[in-house]
Amino acid sequence: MQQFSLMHIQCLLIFFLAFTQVVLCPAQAVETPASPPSLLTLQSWSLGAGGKTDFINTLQVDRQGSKNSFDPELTLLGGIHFNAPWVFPFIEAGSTIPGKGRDPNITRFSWFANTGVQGRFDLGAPKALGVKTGVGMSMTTISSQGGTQTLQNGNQTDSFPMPSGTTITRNVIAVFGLNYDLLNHWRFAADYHLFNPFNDRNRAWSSLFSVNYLFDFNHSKVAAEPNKTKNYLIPSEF
Amino acid sequence: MRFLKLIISGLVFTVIYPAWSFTLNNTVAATFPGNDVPVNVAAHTCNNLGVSNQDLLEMVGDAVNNYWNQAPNSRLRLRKGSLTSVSAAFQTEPGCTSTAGGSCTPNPNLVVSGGILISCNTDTGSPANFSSGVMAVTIPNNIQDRNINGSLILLNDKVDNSFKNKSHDEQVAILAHEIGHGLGLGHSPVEDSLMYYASIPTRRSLGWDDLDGLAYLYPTGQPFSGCGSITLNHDDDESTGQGPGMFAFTMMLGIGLMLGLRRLKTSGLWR
Repeated sequence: MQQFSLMHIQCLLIFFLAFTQVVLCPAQAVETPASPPSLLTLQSWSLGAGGKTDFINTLQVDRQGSKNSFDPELTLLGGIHFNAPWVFPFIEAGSTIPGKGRDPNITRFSWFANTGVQGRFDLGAPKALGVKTGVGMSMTTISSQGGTQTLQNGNQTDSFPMPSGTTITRNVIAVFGLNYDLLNHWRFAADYHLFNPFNDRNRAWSSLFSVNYLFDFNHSKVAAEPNKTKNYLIPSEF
Repeated sequence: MRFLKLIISGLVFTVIYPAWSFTLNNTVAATFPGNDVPVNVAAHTCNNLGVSNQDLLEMVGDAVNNYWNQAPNSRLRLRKGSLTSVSAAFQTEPGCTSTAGGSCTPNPNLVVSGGILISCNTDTGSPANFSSGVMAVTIPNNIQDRNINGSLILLNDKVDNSFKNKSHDEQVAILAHEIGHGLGLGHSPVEDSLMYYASIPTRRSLGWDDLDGLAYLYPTGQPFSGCGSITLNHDDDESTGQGPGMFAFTMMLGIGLMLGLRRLKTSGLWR
């Protein structure tokens, strides 16, 4: 905690500021060469699906002592993407599918809501590379209907109670990601969620690899909009 | 387009549906009300464990830090306590005065007033604490309503105990398992969980069941915890004045800097 606190936060902020103020400017200039955009305009929205692996390399997954590395859960996600001066803000949310597995009495799923900014680097349309950072909330819902399980206990078996009710955990997360537009409207994204960023005791990472389809918000409106900047010269006749 | 369909189909059909299971050791899902729970070791000498009390205390530090304190979505922060003087009853008496129907009636002489207490025990009373091969017994023996005020871990200190033959890492894992019971968790049916009923020499960290059980009983509540307080984690009591207040201040400073730079840019004073 002491080693990763104020100094690190400030370094991150300085990096963030430098990133948003300097690195993102060229991409913005490519996309809006004529006039700067208004403060915040809707650009697109997206739907996607992917695989999310929670708490990478934190948990033991077999008798031999191996830790979890890549065991994705199906995750559905959606987002809204904005256009603003110098950066591209976004809001996104997603959820794993509520699942029952080894024990049918317990249901567990995780969901998240993030916001942040991203920079776009034009690689020759439609190809583009995006880098994003932000903050969010990650929540996990664990619920069970109660009952008991008979399990070994020493040299005998006993009935152990199952939980009855629902718990939701809430974690503030830092979000980092890379995405790549290979085709029109299609975006491949690799996102990382950092749990407890300021606490080295239980800091953990989750990864989310997804494919997203982007829908333009104002595609038709842009085409229908009269060109306000062009200077029309009307011949005056007398 | 066909390529993309293949990728999406692959994602859908290759994902695994992990789900986990855990149990409790009491019917009311009792928990420690606070975030900070000390794990103390009784100061009396353990004759047959093969380790000193101080060694046990050091192992407790490893057990809480290598296992339970690693959980990213639990509010709980266990800490190594101290060597604590307790009555001689902890060294000899049974943890339960009755185990009729599989339910323990806690021995009133061994009530733990706060946190988790580990004591070696020679098991000279009745009913017996340890049947053959059992290394430890844990009882949350001070429960009021749904609050655990104290839990007792009795380590088998009889001559024929098997704890002394385990490796250091396995002994740490055994202590971590018992601490899990002290927190209110029961056994898990799967081998990759710390709360599995048997000790496994290659245990190194929590499993999914352990994490879900701990998160169920002690969930994180970031960023708002309680009325009006904001927290990003629960280690603020040990921070050096760099807790959530400093974080909020730094974030506001950053936002202010961004707005200032933006203002400079729009005014044309800085390019």
